[in-house]
Amino acid sequence: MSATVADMHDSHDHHGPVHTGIKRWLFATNHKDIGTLYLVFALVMLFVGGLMALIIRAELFQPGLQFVDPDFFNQMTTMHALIMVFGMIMPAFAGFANWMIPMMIGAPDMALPRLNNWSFWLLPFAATLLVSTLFMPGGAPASGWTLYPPLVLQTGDAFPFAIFAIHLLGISSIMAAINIIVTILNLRTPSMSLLQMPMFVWSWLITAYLLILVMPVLAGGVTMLLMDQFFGTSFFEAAGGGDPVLFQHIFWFFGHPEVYIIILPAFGIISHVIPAFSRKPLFGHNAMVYATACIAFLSCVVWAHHMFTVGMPLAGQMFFMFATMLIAIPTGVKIFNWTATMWQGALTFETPMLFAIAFLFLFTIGGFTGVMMAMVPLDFQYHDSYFIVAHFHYVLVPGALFGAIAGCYFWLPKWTGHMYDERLGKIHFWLTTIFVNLTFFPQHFVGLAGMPRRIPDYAVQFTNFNMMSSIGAFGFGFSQLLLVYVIYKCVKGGAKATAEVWDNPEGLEWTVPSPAPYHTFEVPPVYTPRYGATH
Amino acid sequence: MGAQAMTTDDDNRRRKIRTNAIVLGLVAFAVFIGFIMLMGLRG
Ligand code: HEM
Ligand SMILES: [Cu+2]
Repeated sequence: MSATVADMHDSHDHHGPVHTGIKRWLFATNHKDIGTLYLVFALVMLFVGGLMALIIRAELFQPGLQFVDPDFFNQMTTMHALIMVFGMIMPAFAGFANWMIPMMIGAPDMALPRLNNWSFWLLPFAATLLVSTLFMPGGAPASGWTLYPPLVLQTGDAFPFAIFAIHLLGISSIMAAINIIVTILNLRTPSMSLLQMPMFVWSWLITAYLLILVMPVLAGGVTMLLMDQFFGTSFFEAAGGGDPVLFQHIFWFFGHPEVYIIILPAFGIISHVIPAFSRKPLFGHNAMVYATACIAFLSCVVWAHHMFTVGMPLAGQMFFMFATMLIAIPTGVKIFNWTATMWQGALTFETPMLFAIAFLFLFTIGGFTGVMMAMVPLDFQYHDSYFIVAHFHYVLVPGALFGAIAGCYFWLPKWTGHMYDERLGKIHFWLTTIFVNLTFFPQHFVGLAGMPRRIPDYAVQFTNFNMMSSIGAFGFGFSQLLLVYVIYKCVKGGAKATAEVWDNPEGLEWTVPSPAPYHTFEVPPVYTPRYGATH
Repeated sequence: MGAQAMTTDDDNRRRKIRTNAIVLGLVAFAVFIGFIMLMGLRG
């Protein structure tokens, strides 16, 4: 079948890429090249999805309809979410996985390098296909990223294309997940036990299993939509004996684990950044592993908390309410352990650490609003309001995205061999953090006061908060240009980075020079745990 | 890429990598198909 890393002998005497120019990227099998491709792609998609967000925020700057018609507005909310979830944040973490997992576990590469190439190269085509639906007769899907029937079945010609794009994105994720699991389990240096693996590796191992469990369910769900539309089935059509609510169950059986697929790799990155800048080992490494596994398990049994208002038996409401609230326990363990890692540490506040600390505070705000919404009677008020929008943006932006940005600053010197501009990094941090709060905090208030989500117009009393939100969004968007500049500058030059980069951080990735050579660990390194054999 | 010297160890590793990857792929496929069939069966 596919080639494995052990087959790749043609590169024996090379120290750099086999191909040069465009071919290096098209035919890339090196995990570092593919990691770079993923990260660059994610950065581009951040701006594509961001542009859509700004169209939404421009329209919502004032009540009434100014710029776009309502149907296009809903196409924007749908595409913004799909692009950000499948095109930006998931590829970003896949990029980190490619770059860092082999180096962290002392492997020469990913286990299935050609599959890896395919996982990546499906993405640009899938994303282009998805965006191209905007230009088809009838426009892109306007159902929201949740794709609920019957609404989504009213999509014009674009419908099958959008579904196909989602299938491709799903296949890409599944292949990446398989590759990651196999790499971790089969290519880890023999001297590193499972429990000794760094947290980023652990969180990706668990995430990859979640992906294999739920991506096929999403694929199944959207295939059933396709069959209802074109092949006369009635899975979701009441007239034919089906039930549209079934789709909601299917979607959220995927959807809730999906939000943890997004956040767990960020948890992993934070678990590296905080110890490095506290100059202490991660507090409770094993507890972190168990908490992550626990979160992943629970995330599979809470999906109907998205459907309280649809109507369900009391026992169902109770189960999903309590199961959801249980997730706060392992999540609390993690927050506690990060805090305890900093306790009495020799802290310094370089840019990655600033993003990690902001993550701690702001992700926790999102976690708290989550617990609020998990309570059934309260959710009847919050559901489908801007309060939900505030919740998930707090966990996704200063949560997942800040995790990715922290990781980017943390490992940039390892990737490029240069230190990034610390002063610009700090400016980027402060702009981003101020604007993210300006954007999303007011949304709690308008949501509580009753402003619905996914509607292009609103009652006049919500105007002030919406104006703040829109100003924040534009500020946030433009601040990210600074991130691009910092990365560009760092790639081009800067102070030389040492192998360790930071102050004696833990991990095999810091034992190789910066920039990391094209091939690392061709012979499995001997891993000696730094802090005794206790973890 | 893995320029480690070829040994029986490598052979074993390669076999394991392939077996594991195929098994995981089959699991994903089974979830996909099994799921649709299950939903179809519910009447
Ligand atoms: C303590 C942890 C969390 C709890 C208790 C929680 C709870 C909830 C609940 C009950 C809803 C549904 C609200 C409604 O529609 O009425 C919801 C929505 C949502 N949550 Fe969370 N959540 C948590 C963490 C997260 C995380 C970590 C993420 C992502 C990184 C996330 C992303 C989302 C998204 C995207 C939605 C909205 C989905 C949609 O309707 O489009 N949540 N959350
Ligand atoms: Cu959920």
